[in-house]
Amino acid sequence: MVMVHNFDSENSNSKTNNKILSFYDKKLLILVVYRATINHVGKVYGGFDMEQKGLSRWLKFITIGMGICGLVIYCIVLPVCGGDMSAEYPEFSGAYYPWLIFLWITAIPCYAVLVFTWRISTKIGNDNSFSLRNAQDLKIISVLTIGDTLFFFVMNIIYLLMGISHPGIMIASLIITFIGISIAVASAALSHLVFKAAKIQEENELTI
Amino acid sequence: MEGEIIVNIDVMLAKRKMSVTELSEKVGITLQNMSVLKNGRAKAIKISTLAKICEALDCQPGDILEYRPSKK
Repeated sequence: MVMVHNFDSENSNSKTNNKILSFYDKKLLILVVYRATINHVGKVYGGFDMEQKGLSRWLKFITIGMGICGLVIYCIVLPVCGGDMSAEYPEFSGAYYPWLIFLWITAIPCYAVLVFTWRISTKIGNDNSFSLRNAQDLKIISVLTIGDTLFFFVMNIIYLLMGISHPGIMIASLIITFIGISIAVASAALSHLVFKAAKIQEENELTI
Repeated sequence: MEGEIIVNIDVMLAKRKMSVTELSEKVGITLQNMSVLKNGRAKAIKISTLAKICEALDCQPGDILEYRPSKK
């Protein structure tokens, strides 16, 4: 019996193995460097406080970003697009101001939500994530979101019945309504969890 | 409504001529926590903490714990 070594397949296997190993080695190296960086930064700035302060800063950055985006949309995009549409389709010019005012009204609860989000972010930065105040703020965010969503949905139906809307816009508004309800439910669930966590923390702090 | 457990440390502290600060150092808890215990704001006390307090004050748990029924 003759044993034939298939050097080509062995070589290709070893090359494949080397490629796989080097892929995981790279991943491992990235992970080790990342952990070392976090640990070093943590030692300089105080462990998990750094991650918590970083999280708080990111949340505040996102809150500011959303506020600016909202301003741009409500103050520039909507009036300009609405104006262009009413100029292009004069038969809809009567719908411009009702729609604009309606959308501006829906912006008020959105900015109220951003204020509460800012408050929660500040508390997270002060190592006070699980507090009854945060649970209350999240509940208020949920209530504001559901109220705004319901108002948006109802007004869309009213505008459709008044003949200053389009079935396509109604369908698009259903998607926005669904997103709003999702945010409200998530916020309510988070409020409940933070409340429970705050109670456990309080009990823990008052356990001598 | 359930009654409450009162932690009477002052009497034993006076008997042993010890200050609250000394007791907190011996037991290994902060002065703030000792104050919480004394003022009845504590929700729970660990058995180990109670044991350390009894060891520091050389007393029994019944000497420092008192049950007061609720006023109906």
